[in-house]
Amino acid sequence: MATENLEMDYSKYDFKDSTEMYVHLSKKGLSRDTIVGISRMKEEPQWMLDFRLRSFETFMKKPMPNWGADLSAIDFQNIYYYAKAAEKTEKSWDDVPPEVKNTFDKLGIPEAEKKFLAGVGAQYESEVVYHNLREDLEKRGVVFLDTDTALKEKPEIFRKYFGKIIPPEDNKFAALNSAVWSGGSFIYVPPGVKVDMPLQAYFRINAENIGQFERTLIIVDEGAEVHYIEGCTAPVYSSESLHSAVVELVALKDARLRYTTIQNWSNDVYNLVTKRAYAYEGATVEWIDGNIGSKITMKYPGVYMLGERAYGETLSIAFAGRGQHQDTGAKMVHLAPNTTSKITSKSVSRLDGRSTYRGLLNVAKGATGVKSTVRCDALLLDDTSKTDTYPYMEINEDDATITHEATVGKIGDEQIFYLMSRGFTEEEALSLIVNGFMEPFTKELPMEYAVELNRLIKLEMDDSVG
Amino acid sequence: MATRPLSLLDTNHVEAISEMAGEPDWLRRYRLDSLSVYGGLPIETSPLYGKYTDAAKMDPGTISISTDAAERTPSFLSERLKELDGETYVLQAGASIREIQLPDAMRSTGVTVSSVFDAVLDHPELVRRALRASKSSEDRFTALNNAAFNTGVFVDIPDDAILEKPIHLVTTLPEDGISAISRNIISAGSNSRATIVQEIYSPESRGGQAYLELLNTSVAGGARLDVTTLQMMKQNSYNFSTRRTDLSADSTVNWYLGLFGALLSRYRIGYHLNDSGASANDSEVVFGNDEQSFDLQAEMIHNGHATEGRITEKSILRERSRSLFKGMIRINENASKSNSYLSGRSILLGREAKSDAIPGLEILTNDVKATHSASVAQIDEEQIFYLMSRCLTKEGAERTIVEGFLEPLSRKMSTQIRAWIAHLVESKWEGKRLSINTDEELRKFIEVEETRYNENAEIEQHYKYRR
Repeated sequence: MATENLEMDYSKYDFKDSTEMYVHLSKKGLSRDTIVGISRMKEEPQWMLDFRLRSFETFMKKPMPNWGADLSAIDFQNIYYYAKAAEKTEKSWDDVPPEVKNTFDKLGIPEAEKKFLAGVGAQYESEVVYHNLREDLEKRGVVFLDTDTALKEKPEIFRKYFGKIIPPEDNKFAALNSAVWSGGSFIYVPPGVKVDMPLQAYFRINAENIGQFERTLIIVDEGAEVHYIEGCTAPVYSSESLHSAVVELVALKDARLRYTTIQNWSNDVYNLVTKRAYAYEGATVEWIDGNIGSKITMKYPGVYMLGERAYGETLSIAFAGRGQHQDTGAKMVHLAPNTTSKITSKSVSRLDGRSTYRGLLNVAKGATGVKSTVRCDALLLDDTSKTDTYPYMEINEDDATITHEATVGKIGDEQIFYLMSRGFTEEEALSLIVNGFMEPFTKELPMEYAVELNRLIKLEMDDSVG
Repeated sequence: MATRPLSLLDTNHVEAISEMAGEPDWLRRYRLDSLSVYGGLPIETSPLYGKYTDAAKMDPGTISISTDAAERTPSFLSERLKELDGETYVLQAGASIREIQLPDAMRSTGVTVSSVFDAVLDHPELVRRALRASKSSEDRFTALNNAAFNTGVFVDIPDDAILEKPIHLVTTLPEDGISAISRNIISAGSNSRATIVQEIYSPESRGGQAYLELLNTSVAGGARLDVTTLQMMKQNSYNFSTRRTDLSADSTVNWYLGLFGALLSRYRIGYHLNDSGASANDSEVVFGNDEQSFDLQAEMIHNGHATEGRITEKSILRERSRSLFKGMIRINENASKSNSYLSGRSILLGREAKSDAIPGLEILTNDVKATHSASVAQIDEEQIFYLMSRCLTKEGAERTIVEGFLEPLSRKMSTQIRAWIAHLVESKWEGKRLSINTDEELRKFIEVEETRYNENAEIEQHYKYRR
């Protein structure tokens, strides 16, 4: 098979800009002083500083996880924990500094804006510099802010939920994020309001060794609906970057929330993310999660179903190429009766890439009538690619209906032969088959994202394109 | 008499065991090295299964170990032993090998059946190979066993030997309340054929007795080995078993495991398919009630090209019993064209019953087939209702459904094994003592099983049309 020479050209994403214009660049390394410094610079209330310091202690106490991907190369003292690209959050595109604009132009943000974006919170370094929310949404009471601003402007609701879904004690990297978080999105949708266009924010790491620790909190009130899209690109650098986000979602009674991610960090980024949602009575939470880039990703979006008839779904794809380890999965915790969940995981590995599905399905005592389906499909493109599946199931109620299925396969030579007999080259045939394999995922994306994803896959598969 | 709790295991105790057995120096050192590793290992060494273990349910402070061997055979076994008269068997009671019966017909094939201590002297190479295969650093209970085994059975089947009749390994704990740490070794020579039936019992006792086993099996090229293990211990005892089977080219192992007894059964089973064409088929049936717990780990490791593996686990759980199934298929870089299947299914018959399953895959090359599945479900109320409408009692309906649940597994077993398992399932339902004595009951099952699945060609065809 001709996959050997299909190296991806990452220079396409290499928009390396000068770091001279950063307004604040904290010292490298992590200490109590760094954290106090970040909090002071942001003029945060005392409770947030206390929270950060408590998290820092938790971080220092927790051991590195040893059950998953190899994280031994991370040097916590060789990372900048805070950088601020511009003095204050901007509201209009014209005010954005030209260096920042330049980067976003390459990513195509203004076009997306013109088309149908409801609002854009673009993260350049650790703070949101560009923000625009469509007027009618603002009128209906929808709040779409960067998380730092939300702490100042919406203190009550912020404090009610912040750190409650994912406490710093949850895991080492959640503790790290809680200690040094900066930036991210905050969304509040009032009762009954249905946001019919997806809200989106672009995230981006730019300076070498700048860790990004954004913190996202989305609260969808009773009967409301929203779709949030997070997409990432990052330029290529030689030394490792660390991205450790925390995303907390709350879907109150009968609310619907969909969170879509397309992660395309460059191949030197450690992407260690904690994502979790609370779904109350009758609420629906869907994680649509695509992992294309990064060196190592460890991410297991979870839904805790707290009310009857809540529904949780994770639909994820992972693409692991040379030197990559995509350790992803899902966590479904059924805490109430008649709750339903579904996990679909699809992965493609090639060269020596490794994709791992790691999932937890928990049915708590008292959660009767639970139904859950888990399906994992892995596609291996050559004989050095690797895949693992670790589905954990903890069932504490006897009337749960649980199924798990997994398949591992390779592309059939007959399929390739058939397509080649129809005039495709071998590479085209390959990417066509991979696209077909990914289709259940791509069809859940808004059109322009689906196009972008298909293009990315084609790019991964075929070095003659891009 | 040097009796002490397992928690106080120390160098003196290990030295005493080694001295009494008159062991060579290398083995004494091997034991002491293992002991030094034992103390530092956690109860579960794999980071994958961290909190998923029930091994801690056995308190080593309550388990008595001794350097002395049991004096007599528990009386409840006499009937079973009478039946085995004329067959090949080893009787292991606690730390003593009470009896080895090797009829002339079997002896003439060149088969060796002995205690592991005799094997150390007579077949040092085979023993050393087994000791090398199970590394103390890999698992706490492997280390314990390597350090402190005070008994063991050794079976060697020579090359090309075809054994017509099974070898029975009958194991019981003694009536004096002492536990046993057993190092068992089975070796099958190239192109040999053999069947082994292992029965594990324990007597009425105050509890706190354990049978801690480490079993190494090696199967040489072209050999075929069928093993059945039936565990029928009392529900206040513990059964730990670590089993490693190494398979060479074109060899086959079929292993049927039936776990019915013991308060806690912790099985850690690994098949290493080391060369091309090797194939292993592992079928496990678990039936738990009351407070029983079953902690099962099964690994199928494909190292050779075109190897085949199959692990099927089925558990039936009543009352407050629980099972934990950790399955793993690992296909290494050189094992292309391999085919592997792993499944764990549980049926829960009580509100308090619990089952966890972790069916994992680690696939390092692409031209393979690997599938796994797991399910945990309550017994279907609609099926029960339907059967009750056909005049079955509720329990009768449950039994019928359980029988159907086990059917795909039992279909592959021989008549005899099927009858044993059906008999043990029945005994569990009725709350009777677990045994496979050939009594009225078992004869009934054998009769049923002999006719079952024995459809002649015509009916077989008929069957296909229906589907």
